Amino acid sequence: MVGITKDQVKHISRLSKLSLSKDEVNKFQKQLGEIVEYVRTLELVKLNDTAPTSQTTELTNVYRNDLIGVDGLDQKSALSGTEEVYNGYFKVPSIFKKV
Amino acid sequence: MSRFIPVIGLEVHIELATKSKMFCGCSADHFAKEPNTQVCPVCLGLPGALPYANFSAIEQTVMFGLSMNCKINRFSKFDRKHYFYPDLPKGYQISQYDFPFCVKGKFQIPNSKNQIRIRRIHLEEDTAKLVHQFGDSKEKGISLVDFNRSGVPLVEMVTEPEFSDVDSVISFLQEIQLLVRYLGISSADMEKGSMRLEANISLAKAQKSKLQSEDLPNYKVELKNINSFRFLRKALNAEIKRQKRILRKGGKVTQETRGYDEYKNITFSQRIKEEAMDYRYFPEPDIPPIRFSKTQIEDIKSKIPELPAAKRKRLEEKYGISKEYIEILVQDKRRCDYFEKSCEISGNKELSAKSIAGALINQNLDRKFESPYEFIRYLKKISKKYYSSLKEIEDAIQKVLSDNSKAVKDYHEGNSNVIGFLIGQVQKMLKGRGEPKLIRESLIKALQKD
Ligand SMILES: [Zn+2]
Repeated sequence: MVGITKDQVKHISRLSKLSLSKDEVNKFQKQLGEIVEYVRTLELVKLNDTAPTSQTTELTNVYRNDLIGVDGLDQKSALSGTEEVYNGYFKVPSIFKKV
Repeated sequence: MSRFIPVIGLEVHIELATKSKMFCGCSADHFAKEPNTQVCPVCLGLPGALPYANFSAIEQTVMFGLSMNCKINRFSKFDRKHYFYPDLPKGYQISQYDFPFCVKGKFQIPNSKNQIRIRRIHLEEDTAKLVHQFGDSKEKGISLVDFNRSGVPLVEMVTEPEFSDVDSVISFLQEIQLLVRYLGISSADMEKGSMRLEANISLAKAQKSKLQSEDLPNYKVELKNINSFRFLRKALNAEIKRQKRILRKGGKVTQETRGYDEYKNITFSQRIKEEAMDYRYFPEPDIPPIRFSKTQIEDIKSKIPELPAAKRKRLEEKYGISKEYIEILVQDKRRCDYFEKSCEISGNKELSAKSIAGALINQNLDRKFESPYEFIRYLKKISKKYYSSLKEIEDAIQKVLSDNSKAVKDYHEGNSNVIGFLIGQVQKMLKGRGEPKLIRESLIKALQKD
């Protein structure tokens, strides 16, 4: 079983902005490892004659014209999902630097 | 002491001036609007919302790429770039990774022999705007998010690191700004953030004057959050100085992102670069890929107007006006069109292109006369009034001298007072259209020949 390493779990948690305890790292290493192994069964499929693709719908060139739509939200509706508002803005903890 | 050559590359972001956003029908004109009033489920990243690509934005990106002499990828797609930040509601930005619309371009730096290679030009969505609130103590230490900018089409152009001096960087960027305005795809206004600059810079130790690829340094420092050409110039100079100091002492320059402090005129560290930024790109499953036909690309190409470089060349060849005049006209397309229309209307040798350009630029007559027709009518009127041709003046002088032999005799006997009288006679004959100084000179010449 290849699975994933503890360092990989820690790396993913950092990217996800989640802090994990030691126990959680062990727990997720096992769970994520199982998922990776499961996905690995795809490697059994013979694909020699199949061109690589990044999609499943076989559609191309789906565009719209540059027109302003009517399905916008007003400010009140836009902010309705949070109580953290300030003068029409969403309010978040201060961030001075991009991380 | 070893000599160092700067190695500079650029990243330029340009917000497109489409009517609607990149993936939804919200208005893209977001500057100074009430916060969160031009938003919808798509650009707020609400669950279940689906992006729907704006074709004009794609077309404009390709047009920009063609103008930068790029190759257009016949197959292209959007990808998701993942990172967490409050300005990015979905947790990813829709961008382009391995198949950007445009690749491998090259662009001439104005007034220079050097060409810069363009690595890629791709299309992505802008992020929301963050406002940092310091204000009253109660709300201290919060940031505010406005999603009006979220999803506005944003073009990113990346050059190869081929600039070796700051002047070239600035003239390249000014030319890009002008080009984008000629194409009409963006206001490229840096104060409003519709054009944003980033530079990466390192120093190479140079043995010869020309850099070899093996001399390239193994680090780079990125300068971010620069919002004017003037700032970029200062920031680059300050950073070159800082790196020189470190390298001369035998030190190593840390690979990182730095900002610029204008008051202290120094750059400062913003963060140490993590391993490599891990954006976990993958193809955007909600937007089918894009395939361009040859005709489609030709079609877009045909919509490109005359660009600044071609205009400079043509103005010089066609009108022979000075470089200074040309530059003023090229910088202001409307004014240049006015000038050309005026030359066309004037259509004769009486008014030279030089004098038309001179009157236009030095006296701002295009502001006084709305129509080039009025402008030319005015120029013709004043040129007739003040400037009879030399031939007309000389003919008039001959006539006056033969009609006034007594005055001529007086002159030769030493009475120079008669000159005033003779000038008056000549001017009368020219109906006041002669230039006094020219009449006087020609008259004296004629008298002395007599
Ligand atoms: Zn929207």
